[in-house]
Amino acid sequence: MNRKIDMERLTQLAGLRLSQEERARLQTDLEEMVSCIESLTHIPEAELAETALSAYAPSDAREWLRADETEASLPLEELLQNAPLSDGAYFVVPQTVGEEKE
Amino acid sequence: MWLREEFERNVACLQEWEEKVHSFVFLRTNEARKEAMREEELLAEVGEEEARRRCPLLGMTLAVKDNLCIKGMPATCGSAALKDYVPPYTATAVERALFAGAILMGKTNMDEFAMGSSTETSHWGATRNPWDCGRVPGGSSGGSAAAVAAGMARAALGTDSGGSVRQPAALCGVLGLKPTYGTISRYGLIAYASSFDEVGILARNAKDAAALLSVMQGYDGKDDTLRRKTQDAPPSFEKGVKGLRIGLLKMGQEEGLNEEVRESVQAAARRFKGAGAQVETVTIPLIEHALAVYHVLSFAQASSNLARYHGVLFGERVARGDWEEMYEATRAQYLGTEVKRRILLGTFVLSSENFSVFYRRAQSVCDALRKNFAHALERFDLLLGPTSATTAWKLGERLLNPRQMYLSDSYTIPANLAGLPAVSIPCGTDAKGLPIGMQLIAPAYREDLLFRAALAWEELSGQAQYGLRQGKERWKNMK
Repeated sequence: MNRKIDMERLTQLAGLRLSQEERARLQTDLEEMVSCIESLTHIPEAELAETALSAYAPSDAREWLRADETEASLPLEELLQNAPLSDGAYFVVPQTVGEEKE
Repeated sequence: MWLREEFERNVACLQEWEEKVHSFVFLRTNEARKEAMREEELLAEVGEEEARRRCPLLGMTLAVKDNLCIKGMPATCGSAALKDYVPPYTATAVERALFAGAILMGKTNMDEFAMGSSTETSHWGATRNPWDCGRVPGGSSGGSAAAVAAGMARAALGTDSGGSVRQPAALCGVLGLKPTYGTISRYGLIAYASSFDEVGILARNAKDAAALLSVMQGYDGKDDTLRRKTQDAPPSFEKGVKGLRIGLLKMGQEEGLNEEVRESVQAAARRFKGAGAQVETVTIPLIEHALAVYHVLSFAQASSNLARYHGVLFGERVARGDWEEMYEATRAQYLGTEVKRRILLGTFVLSSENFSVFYRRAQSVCDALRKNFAHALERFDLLLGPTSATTAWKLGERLLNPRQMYLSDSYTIPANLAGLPAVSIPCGTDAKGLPIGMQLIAPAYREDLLFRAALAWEELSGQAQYGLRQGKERWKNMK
């Protein structure tokens, strides 16, 4: 099956803007890749594990939970030093919420 | 004394090779020299035994992949999105290696966000293979592999989510180890696919790799996938492969396996057998689906992990319009094509209409594959096969063909899906004189078996030190 990908919706979901050239190239690549991963849907159920959700770690990590304790974090100024824009206390971003209407 | 001499040999290799190979994106030779001098002073003051007790990695020059954070040093991940990022903390793996005496030479080049198999997608340009500078070093830890191969560092740290340590190790003719998932903390590793990301080791011999693993492994309270049970002392290795049960993985033609690679791996299997190992052919059911499973799961996780590069918390920003416009414009400008490709496929398989069809299904196949590996490793101590289907290919040859590039990892991905430890060891060269790597996979937490076989192979092959200078002529003699 050759699935047609809705690039408009996909780029919107991914938060990616593509040039026309990029969009055409990636659409072809993605459709080819989707046809490859579709092979997974043809594997007989009998060959698969019963569990559907994986825990990848073969370790004993699942037996443990971190203690629910607060710890000191890195200093604010160090955390903000890489911010593209900050006011010294907060990350500065474009306005995300409209002005309150009276 | 030996320590300073060894350090200066590395610097001489740097001067000879770095311009041709471009392994590093950040070098700190002068600081490293001061550290080497301090270690030499310690050596003179307390003697070798005490100096090694204090610093198990005494004198070991180390290169670190640029997706591992070191406080105050750039960590660009090969991306324009992080070109000026300087992390405020140090990765546990690096911190432990440096504490144990490793001498940091610099940060190494990589595919952007570790997404690639050739180290050609870096914002800083491609790294070249020192065995043939017209060819790729493999990836994504290509800078680390090339640095070790050319003698610019004695060892290096890389990261391996689908083969990014083992495959470049094979293509550059050095040893590459991916430990069991949950062995080395990922604190300070810039995430790509969290269920598979691991810190790995590139080295010129098994002893160095074992020493590095020994100091870096173990719980640090900062990565909850880590195993709590830790080994306090380096494992003692039994000698030789006598009595080891080795399963030779069936090598089909599907992945475009090169005939010289196949013959080289089969010759290694015969040598192991000649040294007393029991060798039998084995097949792992569902292994042919590993690549598809990896694409679904890792790309989905990448699409989630890379959502953070939106120009707010760190990295670059395109200051334009409202929030949404800024977000999209920043990602459009600063993320490369391969990264966008993986984010898009990841978003596709996570979308509501495809989640069950692809993501759940891939998890289910991954579970089954892991069980199939566990079943095989009840019969065998180690599984043997090629690391890469081919030797190093020419620069640019696969860059515009993502499917062909993805196939480069088809032999390494299964161990990541199963979370198992695996090592790539040089086992010969092809007719062009390019290195070939074989891969050994062990049961979870049985890195000691990998080291045992790797040490035995050093004796069997007469290769005490892998790498370009040591290897090229000796492999010829072995033939």
